[in-house]
Amino acid sequence: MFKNMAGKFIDATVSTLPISLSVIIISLFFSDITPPMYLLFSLGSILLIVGLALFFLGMDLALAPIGREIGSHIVNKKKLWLLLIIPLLLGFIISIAEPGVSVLSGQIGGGERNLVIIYTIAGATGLFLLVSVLRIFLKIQLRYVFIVVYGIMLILAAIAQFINPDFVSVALDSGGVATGAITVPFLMAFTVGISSVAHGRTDSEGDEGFGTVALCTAGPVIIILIIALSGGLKLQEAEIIHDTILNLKDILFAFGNGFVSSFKDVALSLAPVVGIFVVFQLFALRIKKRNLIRIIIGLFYSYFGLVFFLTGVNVGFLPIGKLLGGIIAVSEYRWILVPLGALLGALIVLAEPSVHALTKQVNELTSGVLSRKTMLILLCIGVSIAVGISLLRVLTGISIWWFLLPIYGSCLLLTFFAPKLFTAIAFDSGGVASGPMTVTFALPFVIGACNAIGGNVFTDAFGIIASVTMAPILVIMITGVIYKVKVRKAELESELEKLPEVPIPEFISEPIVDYDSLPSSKVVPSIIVEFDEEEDSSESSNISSTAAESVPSIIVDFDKDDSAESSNISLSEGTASNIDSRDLTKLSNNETSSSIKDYVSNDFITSMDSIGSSKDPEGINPCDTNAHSNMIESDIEVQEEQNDTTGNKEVIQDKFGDDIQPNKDDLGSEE
Amino acid sequence: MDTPEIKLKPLEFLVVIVDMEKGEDVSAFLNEHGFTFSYVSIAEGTAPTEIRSYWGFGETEKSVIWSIIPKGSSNYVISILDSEFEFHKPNTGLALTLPIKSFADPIIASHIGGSGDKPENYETEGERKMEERVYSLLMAIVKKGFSDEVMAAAREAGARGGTIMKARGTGEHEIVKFLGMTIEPEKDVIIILAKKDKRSEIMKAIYEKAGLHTEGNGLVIALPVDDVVGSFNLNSQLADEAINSNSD
Repeated sequence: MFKNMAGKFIDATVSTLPISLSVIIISLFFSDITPPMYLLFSLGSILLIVGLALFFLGMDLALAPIGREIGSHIVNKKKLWLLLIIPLLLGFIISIAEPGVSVLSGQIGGGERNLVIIYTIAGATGLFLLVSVLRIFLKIQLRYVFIVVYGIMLILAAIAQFINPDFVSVALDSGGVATGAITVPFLMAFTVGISSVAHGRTDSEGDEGFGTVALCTAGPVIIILIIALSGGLKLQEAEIIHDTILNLKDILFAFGNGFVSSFKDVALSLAPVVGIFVVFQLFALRIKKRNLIRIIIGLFYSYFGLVFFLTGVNVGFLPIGKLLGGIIAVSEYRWILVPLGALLGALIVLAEPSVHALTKQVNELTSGVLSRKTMLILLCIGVSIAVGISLLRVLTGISIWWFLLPIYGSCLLLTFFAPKLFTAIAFDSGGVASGPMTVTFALPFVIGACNAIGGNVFTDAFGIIASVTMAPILVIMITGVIYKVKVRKAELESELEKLPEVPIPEFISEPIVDYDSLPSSKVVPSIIVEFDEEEDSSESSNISSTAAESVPSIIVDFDKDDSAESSNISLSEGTASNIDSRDLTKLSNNETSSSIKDYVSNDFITSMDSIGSSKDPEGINPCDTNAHSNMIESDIEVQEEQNDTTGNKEVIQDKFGDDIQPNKDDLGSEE
Repeated sequence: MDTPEIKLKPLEFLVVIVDMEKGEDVSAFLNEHGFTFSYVSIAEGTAPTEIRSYWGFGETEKSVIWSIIPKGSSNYVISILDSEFEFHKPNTGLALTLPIKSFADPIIASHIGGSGDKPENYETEGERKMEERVYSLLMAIVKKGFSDEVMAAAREAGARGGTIMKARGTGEHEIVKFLGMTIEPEKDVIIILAKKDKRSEIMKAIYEKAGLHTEGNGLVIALPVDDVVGSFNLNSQLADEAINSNSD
């Protein structure tokens, strides 16, 4: 019944349960975790499931369609200024309200929300969204864009390393934070909307719909590094405050608070999307009623889904993450942090809301070559490596550069070897993998461990989001190279083997086999009767002249009907695609062409069956009826026979009337 | 008869619509049985009612598998697909075959259905006459976003469900250049299985709501269907006949 709804809930449960169960099992080994914590965490997990399920629905019904419609609309308008202004505005407005950005501005701007930093990050997102759109039209290969942008990012980070190493990790993290749960699906859909109508290169391998998230992740990093280098940054550790949870009242209080702040945050971040949609709908899009209803319902889904999700994750996951990290780090088995982190990393990415948008998009745009399952496995491996690396860094204190340079270096190098589509998907998935789950669970986990060990939170603990952003890129790039090698190998093998030699019948002289023109003796005997070999294909060239008089259909009629000619309505060709709506109304309103009016009002559908069966079946090869009614060309014969005797329109109308007799046993009545 | 042992098999076009996860199973299954030319594409199943589609309860992701099979084995293939994937149960899927008139490259004909376990003389079916064809496959091609109108009209006229595929218009008059890019309008292709007696009514309804004269700028055609299996037809007498003949 509600298969789809149930499907979304199953999706959400499958995404959330692994991480929830493993956290609970791990906690059982440590007595410091008290029963109220378990309750808090379990309630949080339930909220997470409900929230994700609703948000998945909302994404499919509202966020993605809105992005797509706006994207294809600005291309269809064919105005250069629209193409330049809209991406700038969209990127700016959407990320200015992103809760992650305002939290980040507090962390790096010296406490309070720093408006200058918020505006600069938003501006950067707009700018890089524009870059992403322009590169589609300028036909620049994505790999060159990536090499330039990520190259600049690495150089700036290297300079910042000498000025203040603290900046590097924090700045790199900010990219992942700026692309949040609403930004990612919306921006991805926007780009797909553009690329689905605009086609330039033939060698793009379908990578045109991707790249936006990657660029909008790298953009803010570059901007923040520039701010840092100009001395505008004052780092201040954000206090992750959580009260000690003692009883049920505290738990309710915690969730109450969580809901209140989520209601506000989500409303803020969804407002620009709604605003942009309303403006576009009023002035440009004019989406039809049915779609509009769906989008409005979808927006409600998105809103409540995200509220539930964020409350669950903030109240349920954040405290236990920080606590666990700290407890394990001071225990005697602290080496276990690395494999444990890797395990949790593999599982949290499943519960990231925007991952759903990415895997769906990838599945659609690659027509199932990269299925959802494959993408999820790749992302799991990537994030697993990333969290493992981060915890290794916390334990050993080694610099992020040991990972940053080799990973990004090889990713950029691999762009020359991997298929273009994989390159595009890989860099996008980096920004997608680092979402609210990473920020509210993995980051506190690492910070907790780091605090307990006594390391430098800025250089050691931060940088986890940067790792989560870069590791999946490498994993998918390597997969791409393997894929390419395998495909090439398979091609080579199939060239060697080819199809086994099968004698081709000598009577076939050309590659096109037409049963109608084959001698009957050459076709498998049991089916011989079906093939109307006496029919000559040359007859079909005469259709147009006779069809006009005999086949009473709107489409076939127009160009040939006498009355149409007399009323000076010129329709050059009879193909359906050339008739536009104006011509049609003109015709049907034309008083002189009464016969056409008749056709219009009565005979919308040229029913091959009725024509075919209107012919007297006696005296003709029975299989003829069948063959004739299959093809419009073959109907002509029939019509020719009838033309002299009667206006066969009546005959057909009779048949038509029979045809539409309602039948209770039919498709529609069974439910 | 110079080469009596070499005869051309007439071919049939097989269309299977299943939930997306099962798409690969179906093409693997067809491969196993020697039907090696199969192609999978992605589609969307429509919601059973309009209200449900508003709430997002009902649109499902589908795989559409196209394959070429020998004509004589159409009934056989449909029945093995049915026994493997249980298409006669609700919400499982749909398999149907369409007649093929002509094809390119005779190698295809010699290679299809070459391997796998098959009963003796499984290629026994002849081509159906038009009267025997109980179902038609309606195909409506409209401007993107008008599939709702099409489905609403079709439902009113008695259709139960449809499958939507994305497409692009490439007609010469539709293509526009902008900044060196080709702008191709997006289209929705809606395929609906209809019984012969409902067909004209559904086509008329679609024509009125989304025909060429409307904003939807649509086109509807009907293709003859030879064999079909799916949960939709359990009640009707004709379907019983079809199932009986399947189990023979």
